[in-house]
Amino acid sequence: MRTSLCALCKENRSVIIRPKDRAKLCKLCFINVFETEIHHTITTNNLFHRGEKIAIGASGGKDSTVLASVLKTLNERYDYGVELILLSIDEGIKGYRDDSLETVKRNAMQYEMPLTILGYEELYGWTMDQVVEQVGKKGNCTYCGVFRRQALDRGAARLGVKHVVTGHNADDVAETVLMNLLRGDLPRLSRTTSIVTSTPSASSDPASNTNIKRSKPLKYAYEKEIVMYAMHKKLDYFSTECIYSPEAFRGSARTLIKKLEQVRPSSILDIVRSGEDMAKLVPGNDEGCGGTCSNSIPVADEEEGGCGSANGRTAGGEMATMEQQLAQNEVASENALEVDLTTPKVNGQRNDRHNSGTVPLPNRRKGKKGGEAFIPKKAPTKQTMGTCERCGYLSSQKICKACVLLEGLNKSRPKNGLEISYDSQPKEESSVNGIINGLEKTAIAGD
Amino acid sequence: MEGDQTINITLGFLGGLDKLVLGDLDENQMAIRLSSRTETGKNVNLKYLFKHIYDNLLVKSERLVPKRDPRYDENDPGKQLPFEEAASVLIENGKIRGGNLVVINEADWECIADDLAEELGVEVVADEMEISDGDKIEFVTTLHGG
Ligand SMILES: [Zn+2]
Ligand SMILES: [Zn+2]
Repeated sequence: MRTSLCALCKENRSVIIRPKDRAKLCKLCFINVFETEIHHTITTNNLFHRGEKIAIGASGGKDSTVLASVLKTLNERYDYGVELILLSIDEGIKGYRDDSLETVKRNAMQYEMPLTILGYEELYGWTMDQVVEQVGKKGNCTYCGVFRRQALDRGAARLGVKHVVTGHNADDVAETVLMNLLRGDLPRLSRTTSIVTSTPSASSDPASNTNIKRSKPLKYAYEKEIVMYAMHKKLDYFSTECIYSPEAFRGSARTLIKKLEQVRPSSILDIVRSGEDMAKLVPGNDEGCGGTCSNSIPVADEEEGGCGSANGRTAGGEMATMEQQLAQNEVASENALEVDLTTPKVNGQRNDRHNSGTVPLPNRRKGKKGGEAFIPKKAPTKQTMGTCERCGYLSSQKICKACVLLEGLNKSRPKNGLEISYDSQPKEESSVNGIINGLEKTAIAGD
Repeated sequence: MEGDQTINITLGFLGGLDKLVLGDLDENQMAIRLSSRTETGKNVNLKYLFKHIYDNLLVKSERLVPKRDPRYDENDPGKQLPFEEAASVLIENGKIRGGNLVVINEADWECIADDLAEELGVEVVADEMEISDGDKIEFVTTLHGG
């Protein structure tokens, strides 16, 4: 069969053509280059520090499985001196996570990493099944999405881990850049483009346990190469059965990106780079540092863990609906905020226009109507994003969405009004039900 | 008689396509036999194979009636995903949908197409590459399951 030789070793048959530069590599050189590039991402961005304990947000899917495998390899090869653990979130929907959690348990053994599975029950006092029982099927989507968004950070805080890495890849980032571009939301584009983000702490003390750093070591890795890597390394990952429908807008962005990739494979990294360049132009973002300067780590975005996220990736159907609903809620709340800020002036003008018979344009988020002075919709990012008074999580409101939802749930709870506390101290493991910690316990369940 | 000749190939479906195409089998592979020539007497190529998969494997897949999809409602035809849309996860308008990889004998098909283009000095459309007896052709979705 017609085959070419690897561009690097010039010995073996090439099996992959790299999307970023069309170089054709053999299996061994590809694996080596893929790992080395992630090492390069980690070192040039100073993602890790010796002695650091790092939780890998693990869903059992391809991205987080590849991340765990590569980080283990690199930690040994380059002696990072970091301690890697796996952290998985169980929403508490009967049957929904069973297969993926089994995969994570096998991964824990394969990579010899301790695994903690934290349920919504431990984190919030409610499983999703209980929420559904309480609020019915209709509204529960909102709860699941809001809870999921914070779960990894809260889980890490419980374990006393200050750094969570997620499997977001270049395709995910490109997708988010595109979505925010299409929404005209540059502040959010700026936040989600950053390779490192942080969750503000409940305490103003920067050393507090709840000040969780998040990073994306696979940010420049193509999804295609992640899958190829998993395939060639024969990694054990879980694939969701239903691969149909992320929420419509994200799905369209994803389809567009995959189509662009077919025509021009470098598009994906080009979009990521464009996103980074645009981020530098957003007020409040320090130029040039790419968000990694110690003083200017952007806050984690509330939406970051959308359908495309490593740990929040939906299995389709039901979960996709949750995402969609949540996205709508977010837009709604943002619009409400916006109206508050701009009401006097805009309303006055709008009334005048009504009188003159002009039909007002739909309330566009930015730029308002043609010819009028530009009114910035939002103050720069950092001022609009505060922290929840109750739990300390990132929030644009005084009380974050999770706490608002929990308050409602807890009030209406028939008996046993269990209040969940958000103290920043890591809990004793024995006090957290359902935690599977360490290999000894996971070995029981593994096969 | 050339027209009677057949080729044996192995198909693999990975990354979630296994359950989609093959159902709850433990296997993610299947052996199939194809005629070595098309009706017009040409050697069979990937495009021909994709059509074969679409017409013979996908239409039989119960998973392509996505009952767990919220848009699906058994009693409401308006909420049933048309077969074409469901099958488009892998094949759309006779072509492999972006986000799926095709791996032929462990090599990325784009890589093979590029090799062939270099060898022949002309542009090569990947779907028009011929398949041969003994080939192992795998399909991998990259779309979900992060
Ligand atoms: Zn090589
Ligand atoms: Zn809160």
